[in-house]
Amino acid sequence: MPDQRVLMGNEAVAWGLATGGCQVVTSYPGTPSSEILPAVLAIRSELGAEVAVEWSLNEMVAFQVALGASYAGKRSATIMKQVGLNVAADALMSSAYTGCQGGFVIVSADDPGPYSSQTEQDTRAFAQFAKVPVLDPATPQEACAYAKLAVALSERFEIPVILRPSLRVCHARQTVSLDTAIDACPPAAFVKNPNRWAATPKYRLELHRELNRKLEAIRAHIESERALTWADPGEGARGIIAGGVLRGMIQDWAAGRGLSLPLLHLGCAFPFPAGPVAAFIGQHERVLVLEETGPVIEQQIADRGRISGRLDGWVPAEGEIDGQRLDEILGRFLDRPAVSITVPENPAPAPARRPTLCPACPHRNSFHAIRKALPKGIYTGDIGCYTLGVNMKAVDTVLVMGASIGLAMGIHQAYRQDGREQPVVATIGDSTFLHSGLPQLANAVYNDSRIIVVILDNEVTAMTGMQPAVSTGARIDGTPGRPVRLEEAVRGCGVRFLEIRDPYAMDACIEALRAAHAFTRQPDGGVAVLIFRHPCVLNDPRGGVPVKRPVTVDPAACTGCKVCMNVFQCPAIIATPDGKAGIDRRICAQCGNCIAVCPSGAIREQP
Amino acid sequence: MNTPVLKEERVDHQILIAGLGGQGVLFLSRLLYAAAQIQDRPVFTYEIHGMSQRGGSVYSSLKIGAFRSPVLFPGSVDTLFVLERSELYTHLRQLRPGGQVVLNHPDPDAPEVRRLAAAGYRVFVHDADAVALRLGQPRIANLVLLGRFMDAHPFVLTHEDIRQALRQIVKPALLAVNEAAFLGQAQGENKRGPDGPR
Repeated sequence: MPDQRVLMGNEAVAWGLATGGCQVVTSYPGTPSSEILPAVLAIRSELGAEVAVEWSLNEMVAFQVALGASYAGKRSATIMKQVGLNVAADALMSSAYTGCQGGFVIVSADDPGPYSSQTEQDTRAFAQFAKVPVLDPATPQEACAYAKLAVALSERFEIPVILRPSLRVCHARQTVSLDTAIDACPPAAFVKNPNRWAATPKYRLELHRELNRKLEAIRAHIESERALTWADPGEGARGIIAGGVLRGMIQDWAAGRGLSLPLLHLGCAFPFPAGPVAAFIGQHERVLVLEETGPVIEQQIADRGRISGRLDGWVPAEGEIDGQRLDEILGRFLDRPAVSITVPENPAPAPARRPTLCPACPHRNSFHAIRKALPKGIYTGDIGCYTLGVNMKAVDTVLVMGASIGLAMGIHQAYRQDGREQPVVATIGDSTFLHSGLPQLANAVYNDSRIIVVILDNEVTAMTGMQPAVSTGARIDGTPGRPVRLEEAVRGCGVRFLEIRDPYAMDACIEALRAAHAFTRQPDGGVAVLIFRHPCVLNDPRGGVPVKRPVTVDPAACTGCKVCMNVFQCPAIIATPDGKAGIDRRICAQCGNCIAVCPSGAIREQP
Repeated sequence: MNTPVLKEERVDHQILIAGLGGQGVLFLSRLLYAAAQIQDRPVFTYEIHGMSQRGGSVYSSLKIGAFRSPVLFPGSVDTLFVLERSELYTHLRQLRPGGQVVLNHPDPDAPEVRRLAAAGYRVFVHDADAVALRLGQPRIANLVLLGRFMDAHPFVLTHEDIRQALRQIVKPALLAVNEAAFLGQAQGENKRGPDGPR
């Protein structure tokens, strides 16, 4: 019974996985993939589906749990963002060789732009490298269909299949027709076969041969699968080959201009449907390839004589292709100059709105304390809301999850080579610490790195949308889990200096940072760990602000030094026309944290 | 009652909502597409998540009709809602010539407002922030702006669609406040302190 509803792309993916019969679904949150797992849970409740869901500790763990279920015969899926696939890469590469038993789908959400990621890497290129098929939907409707198709394709050919929705599929919402019937999932039955599941290098060669045979069979399948590969003949001698979201954009662009363009849609860029591509190119004088973000389709076209795309500079080699860019590119390719639009000039350009820590955010206090206590420190940061400490000059490096501690050790050692003891402070969130900070911390203990590690514990995975923290034990489905206590994990690594403070008590944090620094300088000292713990103000049921302290600024006392705006950086403090501090009551959360920050005591609690 | 809309009258409509994180851009987008759904019309929307939500610029697109992508092209938007006036110019190129601007702004005679009108756009200006702040409800400025705009101008969605959509997406405890903001019934009320309903 088809059902029409508005679904977010991520929800549509969840529907495809759930109705495709996946029974074990794992994930680590990361924009733009974070809403998929909660949607699977919601579908489980709606349909009474037998699906086990878990937030795993990181993507590598999530990958292995889901793959294990597939080895045992169940249909399964694992969900992550594109840089999460880097974390799971080792398992991905090897799983292409072993293959799988039950249908096994890896959802890896791409972020062309990038908007919320360290790179704009293309999961399709990763799939090609790992030698597994990758499906690239254009719309939420297609994402639902492709997710289901991926489950079936994986099970039929016993190979992991990647679904690559990109940002504008994940976070789009579309009126989708839905089939709510659930495909049956096979029963658990692990068939022992060491030559496959525990293959030694000798058998790995045979597995590689078999993988190549599978890929050839899948290529033939994809070339004839109408949902994945189709051509719209259109009109004209110039044709377009498109994958993913760009296909839908091209259709809307053409419809808006009353055009019918020759279009070849590739829903699967690897294995490459070479036959239909060659046929399409043969029918046209010139062909433009539009895809995000890398030239994955383009590089697989053997005869490039008629082709334009990213490789010949026709399309920019980096960045998202937004409406304006596509308008310009298609206009140029089709000799239809864009309609010129003149708009009134902005007389006073708006200040660039960079993302910023929320009003009352405890991280702001933590960073302020770190800069106060150790002004000469080098501050290595990590991935989460608290990356925004960079605005406060309290984050000097951001690389990958866990690298705050790893880079801190290297930076500290570099100075040690010259006989100097440079204070280095690593800041890392609770979830990121358990994701990939633990081996780093154990390394700091073992190799006696004299760094300070500050775990910013807001008791939730905030940036990606308030997923429960492992350290609280809460699970996605509301069942109580066993918490992994940060302090126990830290002490278990052998750390001998550990203090826990509430960043709302800023002076106590500064004092603890100084004590931590002293410990790192003692002959028998070592790595020092501080846990700054205060609930995220957006997530705390009590509002996060324990005592409301509405403030006012005394204009007579305010010297206009702007410490509150430029150093403390609370967005609720704004400059008045005479250059003094004012409170933006639309967003002030009444935490009163700014009172202690003002050097001239001009910010005061409202009587 | 829901005014029946004839098929022939159902022209496609493209909307862009711009503002800052925390101003309810996404809420307004959800409200409008829920209302479009009540009319049984297909929608395609896009919204920003993640880091941009932390006080940065936020926008949402909403295309009502038979579309295959949520992406807006320059000169394609019919109605541009601007909750934070400094975000206006970032999105103006998306508006079609003669398109509608719905602007949260304290001064209907401000030079930038006059420039918009001189450039041929239809402009509706309302100081929704002041109204919302007076009610002690800074976050309902979005509904105040939408409501006063719809009182004054024809729009692709009707008051009844919006009210029905509000009932679908707003928690029961907050419904009265939201409805009052949309219908303009809250404006004449006495000043409420910060402890009023949220």
